[in-house]
Amino acid sequence: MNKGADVVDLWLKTQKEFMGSWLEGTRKLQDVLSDFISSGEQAAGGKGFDFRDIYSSWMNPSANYFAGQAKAEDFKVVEDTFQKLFSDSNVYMKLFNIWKPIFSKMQEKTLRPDSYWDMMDPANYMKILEEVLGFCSPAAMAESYKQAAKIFNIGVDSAKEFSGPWSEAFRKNWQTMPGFLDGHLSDSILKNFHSMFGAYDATFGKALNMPAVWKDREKVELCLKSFDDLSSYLEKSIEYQYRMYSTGLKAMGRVMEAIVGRTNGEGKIGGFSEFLDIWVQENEKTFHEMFNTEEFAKFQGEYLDSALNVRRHYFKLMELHLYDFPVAVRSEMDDLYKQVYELKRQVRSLQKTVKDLQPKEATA
Amino acid sequence: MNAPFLTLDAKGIISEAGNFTSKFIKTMETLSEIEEIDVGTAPKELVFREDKIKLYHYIPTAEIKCSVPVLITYALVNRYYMLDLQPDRSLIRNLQQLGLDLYIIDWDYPTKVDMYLSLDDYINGYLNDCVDFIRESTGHRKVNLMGICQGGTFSTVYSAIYPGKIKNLVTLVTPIDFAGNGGLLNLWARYFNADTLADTFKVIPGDFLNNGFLMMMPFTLNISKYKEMLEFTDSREKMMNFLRMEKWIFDSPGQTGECYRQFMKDFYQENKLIKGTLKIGDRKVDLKNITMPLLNVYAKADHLVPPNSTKPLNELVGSKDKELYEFNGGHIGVFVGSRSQKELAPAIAQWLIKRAHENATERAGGKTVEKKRAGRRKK
Repeated sequence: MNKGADVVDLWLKTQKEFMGSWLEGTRKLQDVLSDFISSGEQAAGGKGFDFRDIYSSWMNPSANYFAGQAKAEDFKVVEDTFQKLFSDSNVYMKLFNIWKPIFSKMQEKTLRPDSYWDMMDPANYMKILEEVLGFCSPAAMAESYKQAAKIFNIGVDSAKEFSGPWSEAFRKNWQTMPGFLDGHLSDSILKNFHSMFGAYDATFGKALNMPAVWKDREKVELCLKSFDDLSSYLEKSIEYQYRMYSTGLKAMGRVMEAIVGRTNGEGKIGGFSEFLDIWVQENEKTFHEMFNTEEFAKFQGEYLDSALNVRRHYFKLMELHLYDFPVAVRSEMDDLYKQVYELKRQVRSLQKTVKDLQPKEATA
Repeated sequence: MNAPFLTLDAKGIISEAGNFTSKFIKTMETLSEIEEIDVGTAPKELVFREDKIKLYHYIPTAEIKCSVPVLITYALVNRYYMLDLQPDRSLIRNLQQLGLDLYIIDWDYPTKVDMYLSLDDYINGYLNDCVDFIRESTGHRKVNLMGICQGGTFSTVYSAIYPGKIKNLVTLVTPIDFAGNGGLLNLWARYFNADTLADTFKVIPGDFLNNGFLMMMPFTLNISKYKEMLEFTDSREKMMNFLRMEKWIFDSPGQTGECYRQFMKDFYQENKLIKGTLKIGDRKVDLKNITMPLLNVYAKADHLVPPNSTKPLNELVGSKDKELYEFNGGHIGVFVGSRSQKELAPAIAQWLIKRAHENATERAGGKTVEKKRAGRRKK
């Protein structure tokens, strides 16, 4: 059997597997979307769909292909096969011809440092290209395939870990689709941003959390964090306003009832002043009923917390921006205040010690 | 269902609108005549100072009938002039006239440089130093301590840590048990993230705290109050008194982050004072250590510190001479109401004066002084 043909067969086979898996993954995705749209948010999770399937369908066959190549006994066959595959195209000469005019023009200029001459000589450049791309070393080829297989295998595992949070984020976002369709745009967008930021924070964000990569990284991360905090705050704020508004409506209903009761019993109310008294009384009572619940108290705590998070991260961001300017930033002042505080305590303590010692000295 | 608004006739509406406009114009006239809102006018002298904290001694205006000096403390969010808002309705002047020798602490306005001040600094530090100063400067081994609201909690904690320095303890509308659901403050505070608040603000702004208080009765405190203001608009003196009250309400110092953090967590959220697990600095707070006479005043209609938060103190202290006084009014009425001047001030003064003269009896036989008095006093 022709070994060269085997290599090509294996390559074609893996491409076919890849296409098949990819189409299967696409089909699954379409099924899920179709079910989701037809039967609401439960369908999104109901079919057992996992976004990672798409990764797997592509990554696994690719990794298998490289793994298979790495095990090939005769790399000369591989080299020959690829040389044959590309022989008609004469890829090296074409590449060389592309660069040749540029190099020639560069040589014609007066700026010709000797150290650069070899690199710019078309003959030498061609030789370098041959060494890099010439498949001249079977050992290099073996190592290349081995490393590629390893990287792809790691990639498959890593992709599963990596894709999990994003898969979860997409699933959550799909669940907001009914909200979008019902016209709750701002609320749904905020939720979408929050879930996407969660996925980012659990994946890219972790990588960026490496200490002292570079200062602008912190700024970028804080900007995103602040924006996420802002979206959480806005979500709470909308809910807070809704609670206030709906309680206000309830109170207004009670005001109307009270006025009707008053007008039925006593004729009529005595003007706007009396109406205002009734309005205040009923509103105070109705809002107090809402305020005086564990549920509202808990929500209010969360609302306040979300607002403070925005403020806190915004201040940190400001501080990062100001760090390079000749001004004392907040955290530096806080350190100074801490030192002043501790020194004051020490002085006070020493003053008391001195005071306690004074009568003893007097009697000694 | 009738259409209620149709019962308002056009004549009535026009008449009311005209009256309202007239009152509004008069209000503007009266307000424009007032240049300065004077508060805290009772004569006093600065006798001690530590960092920003000041100790004032009110210059006696009448014969001292209770020789043991009285040190007054109040909430950090308030100003010292809260008991001396207007000359003719001043708890300070009233108590002076009744024969008490008064001192008051001015907590002042903490700024960011004070952000690390903790309850330890306020109670074991400043309050203790003020007490020591009065003890040393007057020659009294013990002083009377009168605490109002949060200042009452501070006084209670202080008396438990340093019982040997306190002769009598008077607490007014003082939160002690924070677990009850009687007040919105107790309920809301349980869900506040004290760490985020303290770390973000560093010094919790007085306006932030004030808004919280206003939110408890938003319609009455933000609307009705100003509607009522229009009713006495033609009286400069009444308007001045209204403005004095407004000045006091909105002149709110902040609270240092560390102090607020501990107060929220240890008192409101974990109720450590009641559980006996509270520590201020390195000192444990055991309410049973409070063995001096106690007068505990609560306001029947207090929306900030409900009676069920105040009353348990009498059951928790080790005092044998203890009295519970019910004030028929609200939280603020205790400091500035007319009933406060007519009833509460004489009651406090008499209670302290009586104990100044009952020392011998107490020391000799440890006699329990528990009397049900006429009026609203309860055992």
